[in-house]
Amino acid sequence: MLISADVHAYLFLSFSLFAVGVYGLLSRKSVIRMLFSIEMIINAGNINLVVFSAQNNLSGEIFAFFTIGLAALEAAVGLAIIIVFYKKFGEVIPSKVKTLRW
Amino acid sequence: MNSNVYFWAIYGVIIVSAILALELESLLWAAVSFVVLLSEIALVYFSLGMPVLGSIQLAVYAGGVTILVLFAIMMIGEGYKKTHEKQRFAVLISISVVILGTILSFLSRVKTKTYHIYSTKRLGIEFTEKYSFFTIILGLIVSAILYLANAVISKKKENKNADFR
Repeated sequence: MLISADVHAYLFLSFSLFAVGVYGLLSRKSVIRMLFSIEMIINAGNINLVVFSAQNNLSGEIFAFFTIGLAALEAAVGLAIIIVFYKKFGEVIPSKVKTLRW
Repeated sequence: MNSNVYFWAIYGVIIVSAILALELESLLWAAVSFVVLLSEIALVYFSLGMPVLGSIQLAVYAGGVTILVLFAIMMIGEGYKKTHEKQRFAVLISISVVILGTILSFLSRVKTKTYHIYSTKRLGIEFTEKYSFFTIILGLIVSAILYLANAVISKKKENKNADFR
């Protein structure tokens, strides 16, 4: 094992990554940047799961597998919707997209 | 190298690449920075003794998701205008998230235990014995998401047909 840092250090890494993701979600209007931010937030959650899993049991690691699968699916569907946005409106600014609503 | 120095070096690369992925004007370079971020997170998993999870992170995230993003950038171009409307508010919120989270983590009195390295065989056994049922739930969630995505795209097609009438 290469790293055996304190658990608080890992939690600090997770909070920092989560904060950068929140910053991107709040301040960016580009949909791709917002997708990046969501992925960062999911990865921050995954780091928490993995660190506690390394200290206790394997459950956290297995849940991290599920999370990675779902996040990849979410990214694929999100990008598909972005391309539909672009074909319909010629830009990908979410606040201007209103006619896809039911 | 001391493991603490190694950890803080990885921390620096992760946070800097995350900020660059949001701040760089060129979406292509932002995607490259995003790949660096995801690869470093895979390195954290490897260094915690979880090679399977690290490999999946590299294959699915740093590989698959990034290729999808690159395809999207190729199709829609790089048009991006930086806005500074809510930037100060967002910085304040994110700094307070870090401070509050760190204070809460120290208040929770979580103690560092010994890090274990579990074998891949044990991982497989535990997965099939305890969590195989979750794959069914995951399948249901995946089909629900795909159905909704299809519904969104079909809605767009209906509108297009309506325009032609």
